[in-house]
Amino acid sequence: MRNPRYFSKPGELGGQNASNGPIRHPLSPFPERGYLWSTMYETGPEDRRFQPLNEPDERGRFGEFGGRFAPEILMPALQELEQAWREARVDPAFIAEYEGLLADFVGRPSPVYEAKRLSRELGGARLVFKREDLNHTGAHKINNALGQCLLVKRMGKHRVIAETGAGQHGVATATACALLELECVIYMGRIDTERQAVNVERMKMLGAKVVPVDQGSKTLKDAVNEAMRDWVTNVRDTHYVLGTAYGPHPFPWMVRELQRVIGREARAQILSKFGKLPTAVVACVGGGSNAIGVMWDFLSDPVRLVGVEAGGRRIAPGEHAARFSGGSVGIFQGSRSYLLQDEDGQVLGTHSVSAGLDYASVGAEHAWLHDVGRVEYTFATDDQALQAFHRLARTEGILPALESSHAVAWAIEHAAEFAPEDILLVNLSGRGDKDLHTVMGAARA
Amino acid sequence: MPDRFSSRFGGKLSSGQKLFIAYIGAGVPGRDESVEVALELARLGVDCIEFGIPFSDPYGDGAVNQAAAERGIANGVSLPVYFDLVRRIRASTDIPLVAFGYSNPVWHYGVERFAADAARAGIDAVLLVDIPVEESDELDAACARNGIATTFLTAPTTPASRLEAIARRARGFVYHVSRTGVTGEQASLSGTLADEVAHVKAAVVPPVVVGFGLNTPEQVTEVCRIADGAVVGSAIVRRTLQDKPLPEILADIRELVVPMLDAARGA
Repeated sequence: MRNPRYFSKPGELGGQNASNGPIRHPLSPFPERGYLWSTMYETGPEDRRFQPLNEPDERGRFGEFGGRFAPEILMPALQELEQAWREARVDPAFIAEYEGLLADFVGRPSPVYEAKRLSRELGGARLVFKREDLNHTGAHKINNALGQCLLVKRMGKHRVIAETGAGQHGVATATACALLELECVIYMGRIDTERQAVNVERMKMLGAKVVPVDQGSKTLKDAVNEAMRDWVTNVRDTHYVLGTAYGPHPFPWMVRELQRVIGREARAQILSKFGKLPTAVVACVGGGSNAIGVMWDFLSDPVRLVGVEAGGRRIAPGEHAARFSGGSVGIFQGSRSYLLQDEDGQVLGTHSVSAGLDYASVGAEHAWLHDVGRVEYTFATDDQALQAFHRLARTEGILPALESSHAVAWAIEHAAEFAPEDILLVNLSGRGDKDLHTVMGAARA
Repeated sequence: MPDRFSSRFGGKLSSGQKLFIAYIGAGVPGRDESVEVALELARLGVDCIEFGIPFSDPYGDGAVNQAAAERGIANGVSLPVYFDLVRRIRASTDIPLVAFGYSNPVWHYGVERFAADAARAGIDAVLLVDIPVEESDELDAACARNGIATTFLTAPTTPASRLEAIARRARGFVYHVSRTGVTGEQASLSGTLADEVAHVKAAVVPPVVVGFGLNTPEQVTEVCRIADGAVVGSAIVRRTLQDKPLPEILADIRELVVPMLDAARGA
């Protein structure tokens, strides 16, 4: 197996899909939606290309977003974590252990798969799926959980806590803890424990303690609050394995780096299989870890990038989780980003059929990529996601997670707008076995 | 520096007495009632009131203060209403008042506008749980322009290097958290508290008060032996959340606070 680390880096590939379209400054926001990549970036000299931020600044910011808005009790732990991460990420022994587990335990690289039957039905683009759903534990979350749990061992801590929405991050963390002999406590909103009951049982079988959270809206944000409270109390021997590219610095950066394997692999696989880059890459965005992971290594390429948030029932307060459609800049759970909030700055309740997207804020780097105009963010509703779930099941024999179904829904809606030679890469971030109960409930309703 | 702090705190401390600070939630049990609770605490001789700005997701707080925040929000305590409550307290007392809360409502309102309106209403200092010194430039500057203080928490985990940064910025007082954990009552104090407080006192100029979990006169005595004063929050807030008429709530608060005040004075 080729070592994913040595797959091509952003900016290495030039000259393909060269465009004669107008050249724009990479940082200027696009005035309109519905643009094509060919008018966005020239593929020529480096300095004409979009320049991603390799790291946030010393205060942990991507532009004005991110930062470290945490209680004093946690500040030393966050500094210690940043230091440990800086050392580990360049330590060959750490990298070898991590990548060895990704290969032998997770089953990486995950394949890319061309969905020919669905593509034919839709007309337009060739749909290609990055199959993170085929990872051990059934989603991309394991990439991050394993990396952080290895870091926990390195830091000499023995107890791990995590929040979970859909249960996928909880399962991934419980799995990593079983493997690495770490004590594991998972916080999960009461409503999520009910709609993801199977994942609760899986976590328990893996040896984790699952604590249902009855505060607030009893969903993901309340699970994060409760995990933060645990961390504040037990910070000396406990690490908080945050499950997404969110929260106080260094989490957004560290989680992105641990998830970048998705896009690094996909880029190399598509180049080798099709001899060209995809025209567009689409991913669902909750906190945003699968999206930043699949998109990051395409940021400097002439590739259209689309993030799909949860449109819920409709775009009205409390009915959705589309932060870029109904939110504004705020400070929440350690980070400055787009936030669903009321006129007094109180955080609004959210709704999505998918527990993993049901969150009031979004990763800081996504907020930056939104504001500089590099990634376009849109949403799919509950109904669209459910329809996409069924359609993919029937046409391709794949049950996608309801989170990933939001990205599939966008692809289904927009495939016909692409040319037949265009490749539309969809990140299938997780599998849908956990969602059968919800899907069956929706069918009855 | 804010006059209400120096006149009140300076006088007390120079005469060998210790400070007693109370935390309550704005709008709890009701809007008008929270003004009455504050005025009752002032009448009892409390030295400073931390008047909590409600926030939907107070992850540094335990269940009692979260319940109070939910009640405050349900009772419509937006920042304009909050400042109106502050004005009504300020009209009857010159007790130092601290706006205590989380950053998002403040940033959403506008930091400069918040500082100006807070100063006009009669606030003396601002403490936001999720604004550590690294993130406080904007708040510090806005508060300084409007003549109010910003102050900070210190924790058992705070190393010496961070204490220096906190010392450079903290005004009015420094609030040392008695344990790793969220707010809420506890049976006994940490064994390392005396050492921690000694380190903080050596590093900072303003008085150092200790809180998080205090609920008995004995704990107040213990804290006042090592620090410049004690902060009591959840124990009072729990009484304001009772489903009782206001006079009974005020009586319960008196019963709780008077022995603690005596403990602070006698220490």
